[in-house]
Amino acid sequence: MNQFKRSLCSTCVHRSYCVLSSDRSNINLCNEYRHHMDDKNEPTIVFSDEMY
Amino acid sequence: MTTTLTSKKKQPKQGMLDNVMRQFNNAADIIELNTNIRKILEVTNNEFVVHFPVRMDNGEVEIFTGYRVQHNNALGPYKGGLRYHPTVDIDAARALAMWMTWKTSLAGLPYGGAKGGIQLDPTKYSQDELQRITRRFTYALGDNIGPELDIPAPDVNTNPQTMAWILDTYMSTKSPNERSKNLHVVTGKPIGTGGSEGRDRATGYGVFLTIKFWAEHNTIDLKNKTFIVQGFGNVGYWASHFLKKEGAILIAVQDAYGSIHNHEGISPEKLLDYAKANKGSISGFAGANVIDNAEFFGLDCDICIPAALGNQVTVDNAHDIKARLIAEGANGPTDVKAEEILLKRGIDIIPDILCNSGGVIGSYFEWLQNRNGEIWQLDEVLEKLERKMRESFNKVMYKTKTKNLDMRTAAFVIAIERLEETYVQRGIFP
Repeated sequence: MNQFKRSLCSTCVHRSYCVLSSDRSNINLCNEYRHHMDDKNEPTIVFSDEMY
Repeated sequence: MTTTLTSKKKQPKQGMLDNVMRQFNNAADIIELNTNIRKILEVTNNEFVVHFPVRMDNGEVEIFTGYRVQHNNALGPYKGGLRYHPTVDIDAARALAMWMTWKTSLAGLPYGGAKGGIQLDPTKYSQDELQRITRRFTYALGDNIGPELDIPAPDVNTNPQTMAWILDTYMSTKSPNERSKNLHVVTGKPIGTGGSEGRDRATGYGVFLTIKFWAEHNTIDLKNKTFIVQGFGNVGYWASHFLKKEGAILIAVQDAYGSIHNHEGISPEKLLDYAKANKGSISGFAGANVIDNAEFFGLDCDICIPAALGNQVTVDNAHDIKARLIAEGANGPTDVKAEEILLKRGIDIIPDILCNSGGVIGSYFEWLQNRNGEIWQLDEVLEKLERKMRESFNKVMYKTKTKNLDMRTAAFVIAIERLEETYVQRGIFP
């Protein structure tokens, strides 16, 4: 969270290996975003890609 | 506690808000927008910040902060998503609310723009806690949302279940006689709770439709045309599915895990089945070869669909792009400088505000069905979506031709002109 204060990437399951962007500091919208669940290492809440 | 802020002062601009304001100012300058209307559209109508307590599973009480920004309602009720994320703040909500105003206006919908959410990390809470948080947030917003006032929808970390909780809570605050009149207070509901058929594919189908219309406009046959897709979520998959049905060939896909390529074609259905069985990853798919990620946008193809995230087509790769068309399934995938290069090279760009508007149009159909007590079949939803998207596409193409504008500027101009017309006709109260 300290690294990506204004970015969705901060809690994305793909954040450690994602190849889509090297600049993850200010990403507000992403269709690949999946929320990270620390204990089971599985995404629990899936991003709705409708963005409305 | 509910705080309503209405301000005539200029809002501080940061990140996304700055981008949205720049796009607005560019279009407003081109049409020489009435200065008074410009003043109105530069600021949000209402900004709600609510702090509310929720009892956690361990018995402790935690205080949460929720936001709802209502940018403009000149064309109809406010419309926009609710997200649950630690980065939710007033600036992000302002930018996304303003973005929704332009999007609904361009799509010709009777809606304004709004956005909101709660600042939290949802993985830190149980489903029961999330349910109580959602219900208490809905209660805190009270009658500041409503089926004819402000209609929330899913966004980051919220889903049809979240919408069902909001609906149930909102309805429960109404008298028994009023309850069933409020089904359209949210969209993106589960089908059993008033959701619409086809909502899952609405955005991807919309992306496909704009490509089809572009091909028709340029008398191009999509059969055997090759395309590449960045992002294989709902938007990327459904756009590929419909393009394949039209005879086009998917030759490369890139997602968070890497990039794959097969010049003879990749089956979207087989790739989806593989990804589902492989924790969502496309890497290792037997029907294609792995390629270097940096090669992806430079691949030889006819159509490029960035459907993942922003700032993907930049000055670093704009010169390498060989596609004749870029269809923006994601929001803001092409940066300003890259767009200049692409337009000079004669590459067409279907702008995000038009290309991915299928989602909000699908949402409008759900709202209409609830409001009229109707249930539409899938083919009916897709047929109406096609009609609506064709209307928007034709308007944009007409504007590009008559005013000599690129498609993105034309789209913004149309959206702002529609709002201007409403204000000119209605005047300013009192």
